[in-house]
Amino acid sequence: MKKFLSYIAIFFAVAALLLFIYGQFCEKFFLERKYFPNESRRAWAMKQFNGQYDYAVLGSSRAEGAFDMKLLDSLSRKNGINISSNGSGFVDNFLVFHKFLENKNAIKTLYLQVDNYSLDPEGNFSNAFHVFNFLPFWKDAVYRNAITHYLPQKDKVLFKYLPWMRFYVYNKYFSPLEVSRRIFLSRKKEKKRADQLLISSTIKPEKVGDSSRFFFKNNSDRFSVNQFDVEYMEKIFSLAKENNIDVVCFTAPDFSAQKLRFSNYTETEKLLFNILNKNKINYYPSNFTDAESSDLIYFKDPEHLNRYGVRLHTIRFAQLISK
Amino acid sequence: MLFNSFEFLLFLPIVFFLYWFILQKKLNVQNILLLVSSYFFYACWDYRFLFLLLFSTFLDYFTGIKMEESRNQRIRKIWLIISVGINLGFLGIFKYYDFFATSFAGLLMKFGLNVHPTTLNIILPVGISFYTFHGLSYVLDIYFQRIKAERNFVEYGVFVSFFPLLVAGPIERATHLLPQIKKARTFNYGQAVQGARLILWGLFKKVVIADNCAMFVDAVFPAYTDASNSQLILAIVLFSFQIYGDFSGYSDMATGVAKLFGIELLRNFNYPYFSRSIAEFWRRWHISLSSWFKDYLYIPLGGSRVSKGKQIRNTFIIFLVSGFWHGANWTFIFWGFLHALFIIPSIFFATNRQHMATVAEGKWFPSVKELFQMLITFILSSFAWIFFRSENMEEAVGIIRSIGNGHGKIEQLSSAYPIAAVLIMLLMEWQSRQSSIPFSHIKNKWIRYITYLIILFLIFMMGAFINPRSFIYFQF
Repeated sequence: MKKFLSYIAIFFAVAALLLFIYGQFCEKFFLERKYFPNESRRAWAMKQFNGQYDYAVLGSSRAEGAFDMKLLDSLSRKNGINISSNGSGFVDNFLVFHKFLENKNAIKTLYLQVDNYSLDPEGNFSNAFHVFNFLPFWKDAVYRNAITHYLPQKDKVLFKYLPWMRFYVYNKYFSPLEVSRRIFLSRKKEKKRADQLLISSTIKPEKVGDSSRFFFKNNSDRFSVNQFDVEYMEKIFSLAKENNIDVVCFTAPDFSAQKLRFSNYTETEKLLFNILNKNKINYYPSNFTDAESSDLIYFKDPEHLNRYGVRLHTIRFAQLISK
Repeated sequence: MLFNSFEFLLFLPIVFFLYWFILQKKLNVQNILLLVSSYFFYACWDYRFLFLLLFSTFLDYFTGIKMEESRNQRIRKIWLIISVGINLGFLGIFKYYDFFATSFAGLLMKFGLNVHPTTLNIILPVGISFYTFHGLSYVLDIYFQRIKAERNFVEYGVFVSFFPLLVAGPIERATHLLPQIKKARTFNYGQAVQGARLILWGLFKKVVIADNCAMFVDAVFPAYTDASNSQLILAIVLFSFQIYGDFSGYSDMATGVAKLFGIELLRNFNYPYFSRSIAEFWRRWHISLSSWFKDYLYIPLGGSRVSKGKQIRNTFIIFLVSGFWHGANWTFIFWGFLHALFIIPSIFFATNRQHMATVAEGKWFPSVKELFQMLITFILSSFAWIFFRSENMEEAVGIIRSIGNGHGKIEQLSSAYPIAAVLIMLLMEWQSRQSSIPFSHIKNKWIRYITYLIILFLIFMMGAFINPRSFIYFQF
């Protein structure tokens, strides 16, 4: 018995040591090489350093794919950056924005995309908080607090006492395979991809979406409002204020039938307006007319514009921000 | 409480410590500890069904004694019918009632009768098929006077509910397990090391193989119309490894945990994907269930000592019942039917007793013929798994039809991890295929220790921990 328990103890001690060493390696490696362009636009946004911009666009895929940034800059005669990313809720957006400012980027105005979908990140839409993107910054309380809120109880305890275990729980993103991909990634490819991300969205808008994907049964869905996301939306306002940045919220157009799909579409919209009013935030509603919002020619799916929609939306938006 | 959970990581050492350090010399108290821990383990799933388990245990315990006490064959038979009837009745209500009700209504609808059956929609008690079969084998063995009835309720309770095997087997026999429970157990270093190895390897198969394959399979099967040909084929292949990793991983861990308590369980898997025929596959896959059906159904029906026609009939009965045992769905029944169909030629040509030894015994590589046979067997079993995995027959047929016509592609679906994991497993299992204990082919102890560490590291690096999945066989 004694021999067996000794061997087991030695085995686990050696294993724990190995895991600790790799954890320490991840701690350093992923903090320095956190940007992997082929994988994540969110990581790309957090990699931007020392940029000087007139404005930045922040939001989910609905904001990421709503602008032709080249066109917007040329029409508005301003210099902007779109740091929105697919699947981002307000917690993701706050942390990306925080990192963006921490990296000494300067902007005058933040165009923050707000809508019913973004208040419901874990309900109907896959905008649940992307814990793994922020794990390398665990030591910073801003990130740690947000992450901790989303962890199951046992992981909270585990990460508190053995913080390097986070690289194993989320091993898909921190494996030796991932390390080697980052080490051997061609610098040329990396730069090319970064340039693409800077100019346009990663979302490739189709010509016109498949019409069968646009219509749902009336009142078949409901938005639920996540208070934690509301809290982080307000944190974005505060952070902008602290850095003397004007915040203007906007809503990218969605397909009109969505209003019938969600039983509480209007109430959720009102709730959103109340939050914006309370925080005295300027707001640009969707710049599409009712007829345009009902026209399939502008959409690739009910929540996202296609290339025609993007062009129209960008031109209208440029007129607004040029004023 | 899953074997691969944080809770089990606390539960196991506590029970182990109490068992060997506090209660070492008191067999009866050790057994009480095993029984209480097993009930606690079961209650962690759903404490309400603990009463069902207790009732089933008591029923078989009581009817077993009554059967033994009676000298009148008719009364013995009545007690047997009571026990079997109630056990199967529970199984029928919890597992099959909704299936029969809806299937019957569907049949009536075909004759123009519109019936709206009342379905129960109740949760299936975890492990009910397993502990019911434990109990059935016990009462049947008493009826046929193969064993004596157990008078000690605690010992009988441990036989039915021993926590490593309670929820997903192996399906034990009283003749094998009860004598071990009754005998004083001493700690055996070699047995404990084997147990630890089985736990490590089982954990690897579950969290690395099964859970990684599941991510790919779960993305493709429900969305087969959007998948490409290669994604469909890969999903079918990976499901074969998912179910193997999941179930044999569980069985390895169960056997390993039991060994830590000085108890040997029946072997449930013997490298089935290295089989050269479907008949051999069934001697190596879910062995405890196959042998249960063989002993309590196939042999009473006449077994292989009857005409070819009857042998074929018996084979179909066994496989259809086996399919139905897995679940109340036509997909499982058809899965059983397919296997019966695959095995019939070997019965017809009397080749089903071929390939009794391990493939390429004593050699590094199989011959081309063996490789071809293994490949064909794998393809046949994988084809049958399509029905096993599908939600309904329409989905299964849809998947088969889509192979060759899959023009879509499911985006952001990576197969690198599951493929790498499967290759590692195949390599390791090929090396140790002549032994029931993993890593035993590595003779140099330092290389073996390093291999343990690598496997543990792979578990941490490749295991799917964010959304841990339950074991597939828990639903049966």
